[in-house]
Amino acid sequence: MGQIMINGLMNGFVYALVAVGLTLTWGVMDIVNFAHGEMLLWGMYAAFWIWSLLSIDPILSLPIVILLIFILGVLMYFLVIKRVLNAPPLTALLATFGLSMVLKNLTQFFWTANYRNITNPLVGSDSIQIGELFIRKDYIVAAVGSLLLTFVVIWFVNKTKTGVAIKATSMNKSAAKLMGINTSKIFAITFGLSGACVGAAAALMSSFTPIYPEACALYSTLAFVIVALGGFGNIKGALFAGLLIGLAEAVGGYLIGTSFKYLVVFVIYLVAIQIRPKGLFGW
Amino acid sequence: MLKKYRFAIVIFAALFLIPLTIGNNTDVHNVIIYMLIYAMAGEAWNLITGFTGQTSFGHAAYFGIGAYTSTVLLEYFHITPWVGMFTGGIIAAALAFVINFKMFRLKGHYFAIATLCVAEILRVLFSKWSYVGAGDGIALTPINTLVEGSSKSAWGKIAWLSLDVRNRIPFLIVTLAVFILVFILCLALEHSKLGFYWKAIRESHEVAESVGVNPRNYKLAAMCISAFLAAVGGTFFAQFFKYIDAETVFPLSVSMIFVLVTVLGGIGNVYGPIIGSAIYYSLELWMRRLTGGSGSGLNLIIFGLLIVLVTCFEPQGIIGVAKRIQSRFTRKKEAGGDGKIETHS
Amino acid sequence: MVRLKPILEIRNITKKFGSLVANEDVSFTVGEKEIVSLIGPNGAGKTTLFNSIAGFYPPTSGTVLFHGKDITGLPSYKICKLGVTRTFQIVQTLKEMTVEENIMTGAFLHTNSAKKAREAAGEILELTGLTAKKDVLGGSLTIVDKKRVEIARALATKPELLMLDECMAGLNQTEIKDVMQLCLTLREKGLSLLVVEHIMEAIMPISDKIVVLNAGKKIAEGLPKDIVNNEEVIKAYLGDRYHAKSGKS
Repeated sequence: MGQIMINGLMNGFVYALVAVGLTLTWGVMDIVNFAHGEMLLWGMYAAFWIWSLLSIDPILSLPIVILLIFILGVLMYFLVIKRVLNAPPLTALLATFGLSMVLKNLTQFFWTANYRNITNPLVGSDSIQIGELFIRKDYIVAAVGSLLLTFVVIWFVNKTKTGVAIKATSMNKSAAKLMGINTSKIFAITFGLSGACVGAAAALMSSFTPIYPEACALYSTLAFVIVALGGFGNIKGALFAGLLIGLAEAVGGYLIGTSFKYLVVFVIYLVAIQIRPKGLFGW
Repeated sequence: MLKKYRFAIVIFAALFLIPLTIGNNTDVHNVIIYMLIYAMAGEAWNLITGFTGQTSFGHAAYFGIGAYTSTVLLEYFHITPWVGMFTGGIIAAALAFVINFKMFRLKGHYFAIATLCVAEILRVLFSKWSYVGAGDGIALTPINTLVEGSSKSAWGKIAWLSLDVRNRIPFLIVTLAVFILVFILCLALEHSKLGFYWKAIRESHEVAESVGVNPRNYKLAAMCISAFLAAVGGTFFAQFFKYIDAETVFPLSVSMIFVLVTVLGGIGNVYGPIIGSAIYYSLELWMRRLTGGSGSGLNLIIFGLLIVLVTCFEPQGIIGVAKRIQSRFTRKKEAGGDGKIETHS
Repeated sequence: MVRLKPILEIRNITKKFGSLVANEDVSFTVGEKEIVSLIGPNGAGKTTLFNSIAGFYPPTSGTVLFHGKDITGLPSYKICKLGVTRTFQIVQTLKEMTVEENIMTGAFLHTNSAKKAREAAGEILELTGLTAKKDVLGGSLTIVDKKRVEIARALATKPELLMLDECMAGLNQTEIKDVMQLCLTLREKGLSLLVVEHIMEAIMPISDKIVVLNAGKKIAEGLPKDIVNNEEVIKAYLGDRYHAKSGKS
């Protein structure tokens, strides 16, 4: 059981990082980004090709992947999102859905639907033993990396000038504008930052996750639930909710069968939201 | 009255003519059938989200219930899909009532994610439930075989009653007829007390309450009617596709199609889903033909780009373009009028 | 002025938000065909009291009686069905609906037929002078017209008691006159009105009774002419230093 919980938690850290990226755009800009999973996907392909062509291990290419997906996020903002910000509700969602189709099918068009794996990564899948528990090294690196980066994001949003501007904008767009905040720039940075989060998650996962066009569909669905469970726009909420979901999925899978593990996740949301209608950590 | 709805009449007339003019073009018939089925589900989704303002990302739940109910009744009990359609609708509405009774106190995105969870839960359950074929799903037996095997099913011989997809033109016309009924129902609802109250709730809960509306009751009504109609769409989908499993009727991507066609056409407008669906599926067909329909995904790339372009340059949906053109015409006619924005409905 | 039997009775209403006491032990009545105005300086707790009565949130303690029936803490839709309808200080026009549709939404309280609701809305459009704008979307109206729609929509529910929350703020002299006239017309038609208002010169001539709140408490109640000379009231509005100098409405 301890073993299962540890594995669940390890997963949870990665979920959390993906969800933190989503909660930034969703909470701050009120944009439901359906292309979030596809950004993750492009991050994984980026890590793969850097490894495959340049022989740079995903752990080392982490900063490059983060930068690439940051740029992807900023580009998405300026090319598409910016134009639909003031459109009727759900129009932005339609745009991001179109984007997700483009991004996903581009990977299929360029690199076919085949599974790709990074073999012999720097950090292998062998385990280290702590007491009675065995933990895979690559999981540890992914979990610790995710946790560190989540803290970096929390630090950034709370302590830097840009971060505070992001927070202010999320609370009240027009007031932020009146205070002289360039909201368009803030939105671009937010989207970029959201991309950076998934880029990091992608690089960390790429060494032990098969890479193919449908690889990230589940991550984005889970990220939606985690973001809502943690409270929209609440980064710490996303972190805790991510851990909770990782844990619940593992324990649930163990107790009632792996095929039902996602059931547990969705039921947890429905129950939790009845008790805390604005998310577990909502205000 | 006739003048008021001339737009709708023209569209439906065109739809009726298409199958007749192009004869035996199965590809086009299929596209029209898909278009009608998703427009039906889109109308259903539009009631709760477009009119009542409660975003649902999980309408596949009710669509799937409709598909499974009629299929199970047909396959296991030899009951005509017409009955299955209503049974499925009622089960979906009842489920919607039970689930949403407590759920409607959730606001905005929290509600939307809850609907998503409901659909996902059904997806997992149905993919493990052996009675409905679990992961293998249910393939529909050709009606002929069914009829020969059972004396109870005399209805199976009549194309109109059996909803047998191999009689493609009758199937298309029946689908169209049912869609028109759904459309008229939605149009009537929009202009009824319910429609007014729904819109009031969408615009402001407080105002709705201040004029004597209990928001929860009216939201529940919208959700139940919406679930019923989505289930009707699901029945047609199952009959048409001839095979269902949890992954074809319950996933988020199916819910998203209802959202897409409606938003593309114009959300909160009865014409929205059918216009959006028509454009969505004709574009898709066009792209498929243009790129030779290979598995490369090129058609979907171009298609996705088109969606992005439409939303960037016409955020009001296609209906926005239509309204602009219409208002230009009316302005010409009543030159010097006070330039009303709303010219129809 | 003849005392008529009250249709609304406010008894010892107290409303606290945490440790903040917004209303303390306020009582007064509104009689049939009476215009009662609730006045007081900013932050006196007028809107809070208004919201407690209208069922927007329940009071912490105290009772609201309508025709002798206890309606304390009922949700606002139930209170509306009983015959008490409110407007909002921050106008809440239904943006994507036309003026006529806004009013019809109110009119549907008494009918299920869209035709009848439209007829009822027609009368109210006439009464509030909005007929020419009936097809304009709520979102594209000027603030004055939005306020009119706000009143019209409330009227369409055919209330016995209409509660108006600062419906004159931001209007010019002529527009205020229009609203004053409308209030008097409504009283003629048999309605009672509870009005929260800032603009004294508008409220004094039409009110049958004035209730003055300050710092959450009722400090005076009476006929307009008595209120304007009430020391306590002048003090509340102008502070101690100035009350000696003033004394007119």
